[in-house]
Amino acid sequence: MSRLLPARPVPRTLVVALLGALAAVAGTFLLDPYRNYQLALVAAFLCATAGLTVLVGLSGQLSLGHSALMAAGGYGYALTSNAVPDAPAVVRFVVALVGAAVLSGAVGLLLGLAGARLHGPYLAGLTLTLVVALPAIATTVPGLGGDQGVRVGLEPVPDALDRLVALEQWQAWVAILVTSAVLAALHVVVRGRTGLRWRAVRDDETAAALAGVAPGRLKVLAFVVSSVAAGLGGAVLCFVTQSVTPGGYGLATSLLLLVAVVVGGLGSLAGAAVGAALVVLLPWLVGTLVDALPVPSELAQRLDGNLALLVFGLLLVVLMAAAPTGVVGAWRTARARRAARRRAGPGGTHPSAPGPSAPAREDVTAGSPLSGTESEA
Amino acid sequence: MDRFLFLVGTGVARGTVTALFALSLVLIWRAARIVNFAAGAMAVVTAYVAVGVAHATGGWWWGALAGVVAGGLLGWLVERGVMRFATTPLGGVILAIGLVMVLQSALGILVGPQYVPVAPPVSDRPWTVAGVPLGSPYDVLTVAVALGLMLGLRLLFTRTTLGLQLRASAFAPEVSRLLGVRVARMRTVAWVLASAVAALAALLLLPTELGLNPHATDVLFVLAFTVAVVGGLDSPGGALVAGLGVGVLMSLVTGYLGASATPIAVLALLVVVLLVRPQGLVAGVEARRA
Amino acid sequence: MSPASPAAHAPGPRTGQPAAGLAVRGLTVRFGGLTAVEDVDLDVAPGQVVALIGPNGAGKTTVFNAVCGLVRPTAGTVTLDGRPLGPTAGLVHRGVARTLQGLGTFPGLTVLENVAVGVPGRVPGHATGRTTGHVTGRKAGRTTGRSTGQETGRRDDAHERAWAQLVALGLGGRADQPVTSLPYAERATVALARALVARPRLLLLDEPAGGLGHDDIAALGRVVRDVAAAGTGVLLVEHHVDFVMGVSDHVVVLDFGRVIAAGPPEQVRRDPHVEEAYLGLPATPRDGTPR
Repeated sequence: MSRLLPARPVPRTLVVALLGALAAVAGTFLLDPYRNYQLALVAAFLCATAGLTVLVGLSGQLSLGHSALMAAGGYGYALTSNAVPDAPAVVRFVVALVGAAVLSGAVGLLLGLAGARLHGPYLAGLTLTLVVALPAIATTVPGLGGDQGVRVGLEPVPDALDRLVALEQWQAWVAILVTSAVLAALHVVVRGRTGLRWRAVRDDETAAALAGVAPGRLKVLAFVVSSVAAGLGGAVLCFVTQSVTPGGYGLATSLLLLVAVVVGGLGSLAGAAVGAALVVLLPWLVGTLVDALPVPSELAQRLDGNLALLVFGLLLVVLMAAAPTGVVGAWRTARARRAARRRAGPGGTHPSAPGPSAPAREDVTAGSPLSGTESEA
Repeated sequence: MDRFLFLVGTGVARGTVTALFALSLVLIWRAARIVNFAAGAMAVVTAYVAVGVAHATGGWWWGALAGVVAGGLLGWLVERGVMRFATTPLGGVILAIGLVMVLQSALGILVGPQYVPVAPPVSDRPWTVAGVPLGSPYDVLTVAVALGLMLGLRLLFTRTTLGLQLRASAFAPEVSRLLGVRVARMRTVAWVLASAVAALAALLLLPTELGLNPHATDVLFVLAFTVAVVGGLDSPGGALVAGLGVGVLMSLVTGYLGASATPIAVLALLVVVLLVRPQGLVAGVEARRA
Repeated sequence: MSPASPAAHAPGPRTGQPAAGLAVRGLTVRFGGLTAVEDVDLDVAPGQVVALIGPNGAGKTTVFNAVCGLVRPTAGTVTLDGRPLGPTAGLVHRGVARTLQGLGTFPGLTVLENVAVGVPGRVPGHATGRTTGHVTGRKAGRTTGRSTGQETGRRDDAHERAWAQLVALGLGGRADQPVTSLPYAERATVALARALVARPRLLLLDEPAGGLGHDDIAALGRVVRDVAAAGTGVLLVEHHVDFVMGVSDHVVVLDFGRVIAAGPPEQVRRDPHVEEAYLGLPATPRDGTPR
């Protein structure tokens, strides 16, 4: 008899998260400072991509402005941290994280209430408007520092570890810690009742409502959760770079986040990690490549920001046309097909099925909001 | 007071053109049930084409014609080449976003980030009546062109067979197919029309902006989207009314609060409308869900 | 004629007394210029099976939609136990469950998950003894106390109830499969399981026999009678006349949005207005001989 309860209890998730974090921390000893810095960046973006992949993959909604939500977290972190300069470092850090979560959560709630309850592209358009308006917001709202942004003081390596680790490594540890916590929390929610309800709402809002699930409320919840995740990512970024500016969170970044989750596979936290690594490493790779090529400096400058975006855009279009479920999804489909073949086996028809109606092809992509086929009459 | 009148005048002009751009979004929404998030990027590409031709030939009108043709062509390419892979609305938006990235970054590589000033075909210095600045000849031109185009589209949709087929395909694709209408072709036609219209609208707005650059249409798209939402995504008439209203509103905001306040005002307007009356201010139809 | 069920009795008098069960009074639904349903009265008492039949386009699904809050009535009231039914998402908590034409299963979820969604979240603890049969063969140690956190605690409970419901309907072995891999008839059963797992007091079945073969329809009839025998009121819309006649206590016939006949199955079957509605032939004076 097959497994009855595919559930993962909370402690198991925590243990896995802890082990993963420890492994990553161990890994930082093998990396040089610049790589550790990049690792910290990947961790920060992973918070955002994880939140976004849950939003798009599980609740079927699209956000084009997740970088702005990261910025909200960054500003929340910076402003809160600057408001308590005399507190002990750990307290200040934790309080600032709370500030980041509160600000990004509030923005998420407002936008979610406006856009998430409606059928149609309203949330996408709304979040796009937010990210386009971000520079203006930074300039107009007092205290946000305009184009210069807000700076925070560097949190130095604690005295106890001072001799053991360099600054970048220490920062990577903090980033890993926060990211592991965010991922663990997301995983628990995704695997639990809420995740199930999100997926039901994504698949068929009317049927979900009839089953007692309130679609509007759940969609707003999904957006708020993903906003807070992104906000914490922005807070980590601010911690690592000691500043938050509107320029660091533009439309291009938002679109990159979207590419990241599509590449990794919508709804997959593992895929979010792949995507985050891509978002940080690919532009860096492209930049290095461009510097190595013998092109005139003016062209090089034009290539600098744009070539990575061009590659990402093409990747997105090609992926959507050929493999909408992303890298992780394609792997899962292949694995499921093997399992289905094993299960069908020789002469395997269910006793209650009337002869002619063979089981439909196992459609693992059916859970993806991109599969687009309703296989029921 | 004169400042107010002047701002209202330019607001009407810009609002009409924004309504035209919003109309292109409404056209595609009705035909394909997706919002073309790549509309801005497509329009800026055609704007570069138009400006290039205008500089080469010395005539703004040749440039405009080239832009419109390029718009139609690009619409055809996008629909046939990219959008047909969209099996769900979500997939359609993601494809459009990929297109935005490709188009804007390709432009950035080819032409660079500098602002290219675009001169209007007629004077854009306002007439003054009794010392009060009102509209300019260019404002009148843009309103005339935009309204003329909208009227032409309305005639197309209501008086011609093609228009009837377009409407039928949008409203009831299955039934239309059974009646012999080439629904897929109609969808392509809608995209071609919408993209040509958007190209002209973007071009009309350029001379009053800072200049042409790969991101020149970002705010225009967001503004047009808001106009379409305020007017109701299904309603061409609503787009016009909303465009005028929003255009005047934004002009006043820019005039009294400064240019940096405008994107915030757009955001605020969109949030408020979605919270209070998401089906648009022009009455919408309540749809059955089961 | 169906065997006497504990609650097979004629509907209460139309005097507006709050009787237990569903009461629809004067229901009218207009869409723009089209009147889909006009002045429909309907009652479903606890334990009673009521069938709503009529030609295509008669308004049956519209009546369902109005009861479920998916469509706003132009006039009339819908009450359960005397209180109006609220918005759609609150129905399950009032004890109303409905299946949809076109199944309404969630394609991205497994069979078990599909049913688990139907378990109400905040309903105060029900006795769990109602499920048929004890589940055997579960891995030992699954239930050893480690239910930390509300999330998993609640979710496991829902999965347990869902599992039990699936077993009761014969689909236990399919629990972990994606619902899209099941043949149509089994998917219909999954949808039914999802409605039943909520332990409804009123069950609305929208063309449950559609697309089913002979054996499956017989099984469906048994499930409906069992559910009604346990005290749940059942309102079903159906085209399959034999099935309806065999399973219902009371039949209501709609045509062009109005009730043209209502009564026990045999009486309705012989009603000339019903024949006329279905066949389009004018009613002639009856002398008891079949046409």
